[in-house]
Amino acid sequence: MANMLQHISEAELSYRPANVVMQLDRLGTFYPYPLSFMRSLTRRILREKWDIKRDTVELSDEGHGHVIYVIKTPHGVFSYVIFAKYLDPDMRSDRVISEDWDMTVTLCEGIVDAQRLNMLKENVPLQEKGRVDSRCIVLSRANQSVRNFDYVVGRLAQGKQPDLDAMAKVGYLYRTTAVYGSGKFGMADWEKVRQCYPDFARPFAAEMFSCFLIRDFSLFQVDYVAKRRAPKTAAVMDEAIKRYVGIGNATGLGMAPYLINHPLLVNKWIEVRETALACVKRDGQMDMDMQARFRCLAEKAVQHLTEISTDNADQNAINMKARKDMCALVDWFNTQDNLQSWADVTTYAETYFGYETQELLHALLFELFPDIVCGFEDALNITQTYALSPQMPVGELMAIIEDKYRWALEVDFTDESGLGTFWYRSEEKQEPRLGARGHEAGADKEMLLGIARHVRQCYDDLTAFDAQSSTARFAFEYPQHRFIIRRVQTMAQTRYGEIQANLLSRDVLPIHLLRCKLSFFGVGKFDPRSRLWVRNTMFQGAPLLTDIGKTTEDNWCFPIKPAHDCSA
Amino acid sequence: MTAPLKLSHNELLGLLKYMFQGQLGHDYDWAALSEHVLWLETRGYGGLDMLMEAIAMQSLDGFSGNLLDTPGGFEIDCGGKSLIMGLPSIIDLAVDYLGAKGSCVVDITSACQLSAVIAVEGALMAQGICAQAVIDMDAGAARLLCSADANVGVATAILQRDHDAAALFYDESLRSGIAVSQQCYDMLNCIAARTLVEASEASRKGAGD
Repeated sequence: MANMLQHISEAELSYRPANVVMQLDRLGTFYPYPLSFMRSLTRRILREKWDIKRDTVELSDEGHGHVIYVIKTPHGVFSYVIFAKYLDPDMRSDRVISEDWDMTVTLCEGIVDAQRLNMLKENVPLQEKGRVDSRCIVLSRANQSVRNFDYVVGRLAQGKQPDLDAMAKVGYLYRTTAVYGSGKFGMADWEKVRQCYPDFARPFAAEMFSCFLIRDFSLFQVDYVAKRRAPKTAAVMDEAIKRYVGIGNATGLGMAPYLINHPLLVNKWIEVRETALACVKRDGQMDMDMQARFRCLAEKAVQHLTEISTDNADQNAINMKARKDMCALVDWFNTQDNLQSWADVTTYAETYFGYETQELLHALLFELFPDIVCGFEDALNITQTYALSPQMPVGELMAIIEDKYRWALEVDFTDESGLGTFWYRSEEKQEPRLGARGHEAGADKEMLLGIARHVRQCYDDLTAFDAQSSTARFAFEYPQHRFIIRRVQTMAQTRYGEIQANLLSRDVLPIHLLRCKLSFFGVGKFDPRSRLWVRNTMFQGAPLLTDIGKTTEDNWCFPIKPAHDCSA
Repeated sequence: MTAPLKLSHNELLGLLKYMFQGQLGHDYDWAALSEHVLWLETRGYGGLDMLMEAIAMQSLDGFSGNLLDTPGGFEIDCGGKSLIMGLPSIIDLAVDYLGAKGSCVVDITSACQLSAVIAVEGALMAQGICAQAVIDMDAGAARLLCSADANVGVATAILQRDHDAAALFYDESLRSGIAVSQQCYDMLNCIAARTLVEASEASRKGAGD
């Protein structure tokens, strides 16, 4: 399947062009879909019936202590170790620079013995300040949503279920504030994961699994604490409500450079998504059953958008408009009796509605045809190599830039707004930050995220060089351009290429990058806290550990309060 | 003595990138330089030792090699700097020349840390090019014979002879991590820290508060 995309030509499928798809404000409207990483992961867990047990539970009555899950997969045995503690409320912060958390966790290979547990106990709670080893795959932490946690424990202790409206308002008991993998702090490299742990050899599968188990622990912990608080009266949370509880997440700027620094990977994710969309539009049946299911899904999506609670006025306006537009689209759909294909519906949406509604519609179409979409499940991995083509004549390199990077050449860098922002790493946990150029210190240490500007600078120097000369000779004379040249030469061979945005613009909205990446993770319910970071919810509506072995259904898109089911 | 740290490939690569950036700014392709050092280290050729030595000798301060065309290839005068700095250019120029002529003789002069030339062999061999280096340490020079044709007798490179050992070394480094001395780790971090901006109220606002 991985090579399949290379053999699909423009003639066979109607792809959307790069200059439509790769606009930042379009990418910032993407919704999760069946190939989003947490969806793929849960399908796999259910399909392969992973054996996941709480093997060790050593908790105080307040739910503090440690828990070890043992996970048996088709290819191995893993342990998931959780350290939960009392956290001074003054220390609780979503910020990545915080130093203490309610819960710290690691996913590691094999069974954890006493000696290893001690090593983990000394290091995992320290997070970035600790060191783990290459048998660890993920390191993460989470903080309680104190208001929700206390409310739920209180209700359960009284023998009552939490109120659904109250649960809808927050939707989770814990929020993750960082999830590390790919070799950070001595952990296993992605290459090792790919080779040695095939159960997690899809993008971010191990990281998503960690969030899945944090969610499970949060559900276990509220039942556990309520039972100890009121042994005679406590209720266990209903499973339907448990499914509606997700895991919160706070995501900031750290995620944005990832997308810019891994353009081949982003191109692959987008290409797979666009291929799936083109296949659905070409091959998706439009019979009465599918039309009815589309209406039901649209109704569910509108309900989902209605249930999102955010204080962000812009996001509320976006959600409200998407709801209104989707209702209008369904009204139009209901009056049509000559529609030939789903492409007719997407064309209508492109003509009359904005990006948000267009991408919401695409998300619905993906859900309508899981058999088509999930055929691309194994196509998302890629080995990223950005190699220079030394023999390419300078004239050809210029022509490539003029063709594939026209968007970059069109940016006016003589206007100070085009360079108004710079990205840098702060000494505080070495996390990315944004600065206002000319007004804040640090521009001399800026990160190389201004792809458009580097292309412009390289192009200007190319114009003064012999067009017949080779790229190798040019790069020798201008070594500062070598990195952007190999990037340009590599990305020119891809279908979608770069995200077409000037990240140095004074008005750049990094939140679009965050939502794009989070949509590929499968995250929903975006709650922007500023233009630079966002709260969101993961795994809301997803199966529970108790569902493993009982179902393989994958119908938890657009989660809504229990008692609304249109899976049939 | 403190036990060495075990770093993942990705962790060391990231650290090297920031180290080169801290040392050289944006004037070089420091991502490529980092890849070469990582390649040397994870194949058992002591990339980090070479790097530490180069830092101590202040031969990482820049590279403005002088390029001369020769009858069978080209000559690069490294100006007394570490060969590590010239690795990307030498590979680019060799591939370019080979594409046109089929074979190439690369003369490297006035360079220190000539054993880094094994990284050129490795990079060329990865592209299906046969390469063999002859090093004259006393003269600070090396000659690299390259051919796009496997049958012309230069396929006796050190790397090829060491192929199995290098592969085992790589596998072990991936499985268990790369052993890095605390001293080396601290030195790299110290230089990498030059890329960091001091925390301030403005920087905290820059995170979105």
